[in-house]
Amino acid sequence: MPPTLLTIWNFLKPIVEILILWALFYQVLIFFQNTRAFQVLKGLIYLLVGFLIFELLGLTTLTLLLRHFFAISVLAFLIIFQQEIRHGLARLGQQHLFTTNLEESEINAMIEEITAAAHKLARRRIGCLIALEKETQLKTYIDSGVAIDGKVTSEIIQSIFVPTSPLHDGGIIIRNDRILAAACLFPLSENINLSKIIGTRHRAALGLTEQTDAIAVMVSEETGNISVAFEGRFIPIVSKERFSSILKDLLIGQKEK
Amino acid sequence: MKKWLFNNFALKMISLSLAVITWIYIQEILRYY
Repeated sequence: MPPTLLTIWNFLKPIVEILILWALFYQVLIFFQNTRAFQVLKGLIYLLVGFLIFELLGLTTLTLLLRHFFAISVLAFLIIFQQEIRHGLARLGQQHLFTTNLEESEINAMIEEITAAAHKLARRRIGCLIALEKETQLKTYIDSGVAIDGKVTSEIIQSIFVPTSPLHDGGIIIRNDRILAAACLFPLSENINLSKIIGTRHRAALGLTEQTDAIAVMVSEETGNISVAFEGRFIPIVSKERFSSILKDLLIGQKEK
Repeated sequence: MKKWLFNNFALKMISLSLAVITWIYIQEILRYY
């Protein structure tokens, strides 16, 4: 390497290292945000900062004490939160095995069916939970339900969620334009910031979208409100048109990326 | 850029501080070798 380039590189090296460390720490914090593990992670960060301060000040007794305690806490963290860590690693190593291969017109037709079903169910105050699979396979959740493999139509969705139907509990999973299974069980959200009055259906929708890239559509049987959840967050719905456009953005918009 | 910075600002600042502290700490250790 020429000397000038070497000088520039030596100058840039710390900046590059700090930027990479920043990105790593930020990803870890984002990864644990809104989970039970985040509070514990905060505790670990305080310990780490304390440890560094003691080390800089040369307080050897406290440094030694914290070093031992820190080593144990890291191990304890890995054991206690293995579930969260496992989910996160699964998301990191997510293989793009499935990508929707539907034409835009077919996606639009499916969205229309879901929109019609959601609004009819909302009008009758019938709760529903619909998960639209994207790239993360929802096989585990499909296996927990009853296989259907039928084309998405407003009528089928409505008949599944009628309270007298044996399949009305749990959610349905849609892949491409087919309902793969009904009465599927989804993981409940562990977001500690969620309001206590949020029901199990909404928690399940959030839980699924926290752990996968699926889109969840819910109708509340108490209020008749329709909501969409994606990446662990609710997207407020104000009108039928907005509902369709959000689903289109999430399905078609992401596909184009 | 501004929008990116202020989205999750607290987490970004915490992670930046951690990155700088860790980098300085590692450099201090490396100085002994």
